[in-house]
Amino acid sequence: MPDSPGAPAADPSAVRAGEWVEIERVVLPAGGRAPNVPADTAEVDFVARIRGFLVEPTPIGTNARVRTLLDREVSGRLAAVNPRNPANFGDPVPSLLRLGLAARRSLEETPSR
Amino acid sequence: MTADHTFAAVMARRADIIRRSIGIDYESYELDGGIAFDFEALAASPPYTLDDVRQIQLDHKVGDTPLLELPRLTELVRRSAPVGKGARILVKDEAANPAGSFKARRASMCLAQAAEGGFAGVIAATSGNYGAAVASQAAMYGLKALIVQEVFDSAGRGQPEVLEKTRACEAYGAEVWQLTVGPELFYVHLLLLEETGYFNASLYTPYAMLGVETLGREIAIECDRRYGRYPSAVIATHSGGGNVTGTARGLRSAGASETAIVGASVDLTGLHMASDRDFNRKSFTTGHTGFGFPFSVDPDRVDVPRNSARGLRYLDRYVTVTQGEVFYTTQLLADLEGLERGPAGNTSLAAALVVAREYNADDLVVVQETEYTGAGKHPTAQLTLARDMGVEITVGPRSDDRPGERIVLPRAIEDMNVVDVDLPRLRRSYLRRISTRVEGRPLADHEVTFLAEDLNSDAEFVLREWSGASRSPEPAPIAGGRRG
Repeated sequence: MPDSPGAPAADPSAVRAGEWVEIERVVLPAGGRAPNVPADTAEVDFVARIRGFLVEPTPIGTNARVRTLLDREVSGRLAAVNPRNPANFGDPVPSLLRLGLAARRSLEETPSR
Repeated sequence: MTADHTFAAVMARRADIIRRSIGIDYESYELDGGIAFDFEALAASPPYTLDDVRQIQLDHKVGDTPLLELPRLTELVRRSAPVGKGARILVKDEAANPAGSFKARRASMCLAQAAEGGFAGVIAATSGNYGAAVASQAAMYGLKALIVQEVFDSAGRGQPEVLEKTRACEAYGAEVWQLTVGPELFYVHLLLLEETGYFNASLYTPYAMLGVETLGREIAIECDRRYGRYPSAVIATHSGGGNVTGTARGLRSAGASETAIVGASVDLTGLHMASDRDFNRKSFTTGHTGFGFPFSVDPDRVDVPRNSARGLRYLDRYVTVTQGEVFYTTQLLADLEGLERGPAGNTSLAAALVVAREYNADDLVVVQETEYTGAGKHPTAQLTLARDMGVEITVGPRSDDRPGERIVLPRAIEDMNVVDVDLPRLRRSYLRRISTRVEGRPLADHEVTFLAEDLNSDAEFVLREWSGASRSPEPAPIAGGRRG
């Protein structure tokens, strides 16, 4: 059943084999979590996300197999294709800039003891 | 045959999985009675001298980082201190290590041990800089690295700092498992160790500790060479205990036995570390009281049977600072010294800006680490998330600070302060926990000796508190849990 990498997919909406993708799997469902977790944590699923190269054409949202950077095969629900690295610097914080400026000024304007 | 992968079944196999994945016979260091173990024998078990460690680290691009003076910050501190006070502040620029933090030192020795044991790969369960350090060192050794991180809350919001760490680990060729909030991270860690047969690159082995000893030794040697004296105090961010333990041991082995070891943690009192709701209401993922307190009281709650990182054994003083103070310090470091680092690694620097006031102007106070900065790893990234989560950001007195509700940036350096953690209270909590476990039975002599050493205290304290502990069944309410 697996297509060879790069082969056209039977389902035209499927993501092509060989794409860098993210899969998601529920490791422990809500209600089946460790006994000692707080209530707010116990009532949500414990989820893992892993990235790798898609093994065979797979539609988004269905079960997929990937080969990770360690060349291990892992499976899970296909969640995203070429997912963006979401970390950024956020918004500027003007109060930090003002505080830094004030510290500079106090060093420059007040004579040393 | 498929092994049972249910939570309970995997946890029941825990001891076996750990034994196979670590290559240290921890049993052989246990002493009679189940309380004490031979800490120094375990510490001495790796077949390396500190000179060997230094050579291994230099061969893997680790260590010999610059010890930098911070003259403008020192001057600012002196203006907030009594006349004649305000120690010279120095910082060990550990960001110069591969992967940008002192964790390269720990990772280098774990990888040396894994290579020595013939393992094909290593696994580390860590959301911090250690993951990137392990991935980077594994790349140098040609071994595989699998990193398990706590990244998201249930709404899929990622902690910016950890998201950056995922990217870094993958850049070094690691496979990364990103997890939602919860202590079951350890369960995934065990599952993957079992599935792969890889080495457990624990932060808490004697190898990892030996890797940090070079940091303390470099500080002692460099201060002695440059200033003709050892530091009056070395300040280390305190979390799981390894930074404090390794640094203190390294300082002592180089002769700096009088140097005060000061631990510093970010105060996150009131936030629960395993809470899905609280997860993104904190701006620090490590170096905080949510780890620093419980690991002090119960150091062996780690992924190996005995933790070689034991904070209370080495701490002379333990202080907390606020999240806002660390962000402010990070801004000052950039603005006055031209160094953009951290923010989490600047926890100890924030403490130093206060502690240095107490020392004479000719004393040395050394901050023993910096870490790299980057997307996600930055005050603006953290404060943006905090604001999105409904945390208020203000400028004002530190008494306004409420972890998870309000982050207060100091108006000026004079607003900064530290709160001294009650070390005797932590020691009592530690004793009470053990006393409860053994139902208050009398202690043998070797156990009194062990406990006195493990608490950086004396036999008299241990015996007095032990009899008190067995009379009071209530454990002291200090474990980094919820406030009020």
